[in-house]
Amino acid sequence: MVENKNILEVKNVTVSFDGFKALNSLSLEIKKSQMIAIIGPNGAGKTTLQDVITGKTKIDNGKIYFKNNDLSQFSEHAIVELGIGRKFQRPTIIENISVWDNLCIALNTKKTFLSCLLTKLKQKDLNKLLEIINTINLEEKKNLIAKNLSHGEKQWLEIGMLLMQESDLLLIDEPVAGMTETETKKTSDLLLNIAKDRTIIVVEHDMNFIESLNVEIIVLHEGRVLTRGNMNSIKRNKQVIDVYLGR
Amino acid sequence: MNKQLTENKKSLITNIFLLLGDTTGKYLITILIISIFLLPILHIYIPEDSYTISLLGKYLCFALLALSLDLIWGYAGILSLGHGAFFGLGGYMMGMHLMREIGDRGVYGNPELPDFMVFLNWEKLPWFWYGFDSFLFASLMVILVPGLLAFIFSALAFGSRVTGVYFSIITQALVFTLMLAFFQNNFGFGGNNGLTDFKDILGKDISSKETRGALYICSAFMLILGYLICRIIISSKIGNILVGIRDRETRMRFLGYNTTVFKIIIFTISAVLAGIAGALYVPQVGIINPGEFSPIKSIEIVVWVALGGRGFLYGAIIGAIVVNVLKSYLTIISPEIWIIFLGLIFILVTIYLPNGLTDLRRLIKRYYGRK
Ligand SMILES: Nc1ncnc2c1ncn2[C@@H]1O[C@H](COP(=O)(O)OP(=O)(O)OP(=O)(O)O)[C@@H](O)[C@H]1O
Ligand SMILES: [Mg+2]
Repeated sequence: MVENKNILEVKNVTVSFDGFKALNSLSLEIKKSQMIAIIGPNGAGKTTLQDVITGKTKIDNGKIYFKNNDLSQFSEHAIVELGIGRKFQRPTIIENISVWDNLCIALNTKKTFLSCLLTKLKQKDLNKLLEIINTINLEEKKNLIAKNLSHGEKQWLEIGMLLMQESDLLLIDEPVAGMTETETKKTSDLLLNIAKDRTIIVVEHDMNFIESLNVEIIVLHEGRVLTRGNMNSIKRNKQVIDVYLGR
Repeated sequence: MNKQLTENKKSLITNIFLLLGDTTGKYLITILIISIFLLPILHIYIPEDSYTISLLGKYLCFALLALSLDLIWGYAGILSLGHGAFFGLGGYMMGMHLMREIGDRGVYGNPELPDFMVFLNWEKLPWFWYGFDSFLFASLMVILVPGLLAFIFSALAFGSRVTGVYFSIITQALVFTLMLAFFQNNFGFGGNNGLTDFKDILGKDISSKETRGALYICSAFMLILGYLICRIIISSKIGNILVGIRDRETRMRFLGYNTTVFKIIIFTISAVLAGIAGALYVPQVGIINPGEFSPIKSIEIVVWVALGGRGFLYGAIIGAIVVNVLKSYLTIISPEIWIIFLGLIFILVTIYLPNGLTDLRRLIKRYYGRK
C-alpha cells in the first residue's frame, strides 16, 4: 500500500435529516500531526461532521477513512480504540466523581469489565495522570468533585480526558464558548502545547482565538467546504466574507 | 499527597481492605455476624416460638433483594421495576426442588408426581421438572435461570439502546408477563396456588427449629457475601464507570467503553443476587406463588431502596429491613393503613431526605457536631 500522509480522509459524505442535507457531498483531508481549525456559520454542519467521524451519526453516502480504515465498519467505542477522541460542544465530564477519577476512567487501558475490576494503576499510569493533571492546570483541584469546577476548568478536564486516551486525532468542538478572556488565552496555550504530538481538529466561532492558534483553516458552509487556507487568505476571501465574517 | 496516590492504586486485594474505611458497612457486617451466632441459639432454647427467626430470615432475603436493586439503580441508574421477576424465579427453582423432596408424602401419595399434577390428571413429569430431585441441580438453576433471563432481556433492551423510563416500563411488562404465565394451571408450576406444603430440605424437617436457624444463618451469610461482592465492584474502577454511564453515557462511549456490555453484566449480576434471595426466601416462608410476580411487589422493592437511600449499598439493606419490620406490625393492625402509611413515608422521605435514611445519619452527625 502507498504510504498515506493523511490521517483522515472524508470522501463525498452526505448526511440528511428529513431531506435536509446537513452535510452535502463533503470531502476533506487532514494530514498527520497537523492542527486545523474549522469555522462556518451556524448550521454549516461542523458538529455533524464530528458526529459522523465518531460514528454517532450514520452516513447516507460517501466514506470516511481514518488511518486507512473505513470507519463505517466500526462502532463508536471501536472508533475510539482506533485513536479518535472527542470533546463535545458543552462540557461533558462525569460530574459526580472527582477530577482525578475522571482522568482515571479515561486512562488508555483495556476497557473490558473484567480488566476494570481487576487491574490496578501502574506506576507509569500514575506518572501519566500527574503529567496530564499538570498540563491542564488542575493539580490543585484533583480531589474536587467535578461538578464544582468552573466552566473553563470543566472544558480543560475534558481535554485532559482526551489526552489520557492517547488519541491520535482529537476533535474539539467550540472549546472557548463561554470562557473568560484569560481562560481563552490559557486554552489556546493548552491546545498549542498538546498539538505537538497529535492531530487536532478544532471548531470555533471566536476568530481571535483561531487567530491566536495560527493554523490552517477550513470554512464550511451548507454542508460543504467553501475554502481552506491560512487566516490572511480566509479574511480576504469574498465568499467567506459574504456568508460568515461579513455579517 | 503520596498517601492520596497510593489510595488510588486500586486492586482487588486493596479493595477488600478498602472495606475497612466503609464504617457503616463494617457495623452492618458485624451485627449480622453477631446475629448468626446469637439468634439461632436463642431461638432453639426459647420454647414455643418457631416463627420469629423465619421472619428475621425473611427480612434478610428482602435486604439482599434490595441490595441487588441498589447495585443497578443506585450506581448505573438502571431502574428496574420488575426485579421481583428474578426473585420469584429463584424462589420457584428452590420451590421445585422442595416439591420433589416431598416424594410420596403428598395428599395423593404419588411418588412420581407432585400433588397439583396428579390433580390435573397429568401422566408424567414435564421435562422442565427433570433434575430438580437434586439439590445441587436446583441450586445451579437458582443462579442460571434468573441470570440467563436477565442476560437475554438486558442484551435485547440495552442492545437496542432502550434506556430510562422505557426500560423501567418493559421490566414491569416482564414481571407482569411472568405473573400471567405462572397463574396458568397448565404452565406446570401449580397455577395460582403455587408450590407449597414442603416437608424437608436436605433431608431435614423444614419447619424444625434447627432448620430454621440454619436457614437464617444461610441468609445472613449470603447477605454479607452479596454486600461484599457489590462493595468490591463499586470500589473498583467499575463504580466510577457505572456512575459515568448513569450521568453521561455518551461520554463513556467516546472514552471507549462498550457501555452496553457493562450494563448487561451488572444487570445480570444483580438478577443473580435477586434470584438467590428468592431461593432462600421460599423455604423460610414455606410457599412460592405467582403473587411474587405482581408488579406492585416489584415497586415495593424500589420503595425500600429509596427509603434507605440509594447508591450506598447499606442504605438499601437498612431500608428493606425497616420497611418490612414496620409492615409486619402495621399489617396486623390494619392492612389498609399500611399502604397509606407506606405512601406517606415515601413522599416525606423523597421531600425531606433525598438520600433516604442515610441522610438521618448525616443530620445526627451535624447536630452533635454543633454541640
Ligand atoms: N439530529 C438532527 N436532526 C435534525 N436536524 C439536525 C440534527 N443534527 C443537526 N441537524 C441540522 O443539521 C444542520 C447542521 O447542524 P450542525 O450542528 O452540524 O451545525 P454547526 O455547524 O455545528 O452549527 P453551530 O455553529 O450552531 O454549532 C443544522 O441545520 C441542524 O439543525
Ligand atoms: Mg455545532
